[in-house]
Amino acid sequence: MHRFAQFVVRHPWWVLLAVLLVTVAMLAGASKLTMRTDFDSELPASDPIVQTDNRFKAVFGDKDVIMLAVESRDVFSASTLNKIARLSEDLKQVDGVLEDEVTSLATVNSIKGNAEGVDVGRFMRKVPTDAAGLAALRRAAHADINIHGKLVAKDDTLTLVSANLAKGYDQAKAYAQVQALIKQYSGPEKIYAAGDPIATQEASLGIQGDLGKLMPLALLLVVVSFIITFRSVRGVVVPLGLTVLSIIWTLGFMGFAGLPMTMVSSTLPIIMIVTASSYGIHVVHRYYEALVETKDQKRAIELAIGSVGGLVIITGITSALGSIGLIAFKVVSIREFGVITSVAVLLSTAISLTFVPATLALFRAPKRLLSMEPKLSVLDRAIAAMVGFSFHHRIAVLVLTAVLMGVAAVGVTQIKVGNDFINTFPAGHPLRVAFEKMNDKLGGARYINVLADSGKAEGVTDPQFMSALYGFQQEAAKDSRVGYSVSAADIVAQMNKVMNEDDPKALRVPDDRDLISQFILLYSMSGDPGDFADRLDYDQQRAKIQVLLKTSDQEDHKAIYHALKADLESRLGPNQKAEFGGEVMFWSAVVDYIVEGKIDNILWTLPLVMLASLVVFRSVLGGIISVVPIAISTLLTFGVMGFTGIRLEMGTAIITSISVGIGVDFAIHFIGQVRQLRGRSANLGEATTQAGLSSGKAILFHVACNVLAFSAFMFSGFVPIQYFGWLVSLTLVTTYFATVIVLPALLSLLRPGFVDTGLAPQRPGPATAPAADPDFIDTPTLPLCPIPASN
Amino acid sequence: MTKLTTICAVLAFHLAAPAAMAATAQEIMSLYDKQSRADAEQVKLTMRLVNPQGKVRQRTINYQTKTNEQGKQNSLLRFVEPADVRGTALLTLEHAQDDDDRWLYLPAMRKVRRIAATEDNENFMGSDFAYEDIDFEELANNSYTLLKSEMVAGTDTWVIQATPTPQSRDKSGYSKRVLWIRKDNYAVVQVDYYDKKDELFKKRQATGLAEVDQSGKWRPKRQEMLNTKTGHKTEIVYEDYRIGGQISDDVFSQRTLADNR
Repeated sequence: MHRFAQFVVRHPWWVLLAVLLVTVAMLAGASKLTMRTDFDSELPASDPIVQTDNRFKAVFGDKDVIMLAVESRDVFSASTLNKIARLSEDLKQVDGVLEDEVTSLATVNSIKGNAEGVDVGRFMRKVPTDAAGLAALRRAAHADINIHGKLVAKDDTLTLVSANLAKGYDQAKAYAQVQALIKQYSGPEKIYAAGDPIATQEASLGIQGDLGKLMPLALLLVVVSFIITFRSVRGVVVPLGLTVLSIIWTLGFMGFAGLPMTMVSSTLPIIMIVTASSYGIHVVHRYYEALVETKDQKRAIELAIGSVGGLVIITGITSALGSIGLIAFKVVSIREFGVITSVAVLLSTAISLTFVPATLALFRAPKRLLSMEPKLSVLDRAIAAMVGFSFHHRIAVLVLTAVLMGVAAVGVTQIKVGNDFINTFPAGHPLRVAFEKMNDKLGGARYINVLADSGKAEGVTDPQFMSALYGFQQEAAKDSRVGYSVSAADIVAQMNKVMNEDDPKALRVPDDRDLISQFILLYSMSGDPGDFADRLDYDQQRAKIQVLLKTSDQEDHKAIYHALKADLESRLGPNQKAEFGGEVMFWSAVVDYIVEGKIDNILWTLPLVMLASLVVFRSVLGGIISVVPIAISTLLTFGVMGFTGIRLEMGTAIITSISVGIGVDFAIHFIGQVRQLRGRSANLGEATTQAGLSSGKAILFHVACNVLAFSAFMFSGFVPIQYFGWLVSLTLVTTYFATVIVLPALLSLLRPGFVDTGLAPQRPGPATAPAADPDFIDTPTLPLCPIPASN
Repeated sequence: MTKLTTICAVLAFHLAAPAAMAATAQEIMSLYDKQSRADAEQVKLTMRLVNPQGKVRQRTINYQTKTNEQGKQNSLLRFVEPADVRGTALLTLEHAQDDDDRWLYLPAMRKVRRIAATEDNENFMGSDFAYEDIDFEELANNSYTLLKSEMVAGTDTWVIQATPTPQSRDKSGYSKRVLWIRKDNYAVVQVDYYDKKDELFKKRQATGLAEVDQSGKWRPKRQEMLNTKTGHKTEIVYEDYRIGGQISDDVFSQRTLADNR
């Protein structure tokens, strides 16, 4: 390490040139960075739900949809109806919209009985101009089971205008055009937008907003902490440069590796700010200390890199190991995030050992060097008292900890898993409002698709099969969490009613196979080719039933799925079968993977980190003891999640890996400090208290800095990311307390041999000021020591 | 190239241009309209709807049409296949002023029902053809421009752009159409349809053109309409064309709809 340090100090310009070249290359990579905001590709292709969905797409096609919900005091007023007609027409101009696949009151087909027969065709050909015409239209809508409560809310205050989109449309353009339409047509009606291009564009706007807003905020916060710590230009410029370079290199790596920016990976720049600034602080602070001691610029840098360099590499590796554990997840964004973070941490390590010393070497040594006055502050005394207390009252501390863990374990059992993707957006977000409106008034915005297979071509028109579908739909509608369902069977039933003089008793599937076929023919003749194709396949072997759900609770979704599956299977004949798919099923699968992945992830990460500490301390017990604080804080965090109702989901699933990576450093610092102090003090209690005094305070500052930077996440446009900010901060704070309270008690109880073995070489210096020892692993008295101003 | 040779080349081009080039787009369209109309016509057609996944839904229909006293068309569609819809029939009586009358017969119900009229821009029988695509050309509702001449499948054609007049723009589903019309017999061989965004939306092709019953009317053996945006297409194969001859007016009456199986 010293040799390397010497090289860097003697050839700073060469090192900086190399860093610059890599940075230019990484900027080129960063320009290739893409964004992924659709959720379709989150699951592996081998997943059964993905395969079912692919079968659905193969049979029924796959088109994106734009949905506009128009809210009015009365939908059946001439002004609102005219607006709907014009909006339906203008929606055709939106990029990608299939002009004959716009559905609204102005375009929808219906089956109505009339005096002479039956009206199969446009529900509303012209907007009625008089009160009688409007009243008749309202009556017709109320009588039509495919309109009442589905296209128009039962209280006539909300209606949908939706459109299918052709493949390959421009999402950003379609989104902008839809927003322009909303602006143009709003007032007094309110218009809410949902659907694929809207949701994905909102997600990407959220990511862009987060990157644009949170990154500068977090940078500002760390700059403030640099200013407070170092009170000098180089003390700000050097760690800031390190942070910015780390972000550029990471984005460059993502670009070259073809890893896209996602909601999960959008947290990376801030995580890089936190990690890189910690490394920067370590190196720069050690340099200041060495400068005070040696009064020699080059020698100080060499000493700093020589002593802290090893630590930075070790913590870099443990953090990388913490993150790589995320590949245990089968959810693609989380796996990718694990890989990116691991590489990012290692890149950051490399920069802090090259760019930082090389830049420092360019500055002249500060003229005025203040010698450090080891003074004990109130904080010092408090920490020392805390560490001393737990060392001497080990049983009480450990029992209390065990009780606390017991309580946390109860909380863990309460954890709710998974979240509907709409809850990713904060309350009041336009997309979430749109979903809530549709849930409340139109029988649901989420759906389960059922692919019912009759077992043979033309089998759908078999009265037994179609009655089974109709009966299934009737049964599903009894669940208050189900809005409604649509299939070919309810069109056939509605037709049967209309053709039988609107007799309510005829609202059922007829027993005559030919009649069913003729009804289907009549209906399909009156529509577009796409109209019925969405409900029956071309062989008339399979039917699609779409069940709309009003609830956004994933545990409800699962319960409904099991009930639906059991009911439909009991109705189907021997060669007939049903498969379930659709976005609700997709998100349920994501949840299963998150739970399974989270458990695997913890089972992987802790041993990996334990192994790393084992190598550092060359002791099995050392490895075990170092993961105790993070294990405690992980359990506590999950307990808090259980009690507060914060769900385990995409955003919150990555917490442990990040906090374990950062938190394990605390234990390594602390134990390392104890080990070195044992070289001077035969008394373990004294060494531990002293370690608390120096290292404990350094860690506290580290935690405070990190929490400050992570607090930027609380302003994220995504709820899970906001929770991520809170929970990572909580985990770091609890890890801190577990380190300075539980570790001393454990050391006191176990008196492990490994803390006696790694004795540091004796060096002159005041025993009460371990910070003056340049070979200390840690950078004690970091936060409160007066740092010399450099200029 | 010298100035002189340029002038010569231009002159040569004009002299070599076919005399037919002098015809205006309006004249060509009138002749096209004349050749497509017949007083009485019947054909058996097999319609195949092909979805983008390549799945096919097929129906065979007997189609009869005759010009009525108002100069409009009466028509009868009767399904032959598949078996479970055999006999299903749709009768349309067009009127010059009022909405068309339409009656439906469903054999499984043994009932004739009156059904509501359709609009031009709605789809014909759930196919990719809109009613306006299969109707006769409304010469007064469009303005025509002759774009160029072009060879299509070995025959010379005029390429004509048809744009709806401002009054008829709302009734049509298109911003414009481009038609390829054969110079030798005024039959259409290809049409491109542009949607209201002025983007290509459907492509129609007619093949196997032949003159029917020495009537001077040319009809295709096969037509295809492809929706270029969805990839859905409709193919129609025509058999047993008959033009002229006698079709009784009784065919187009509500009374005989039910028993004419």
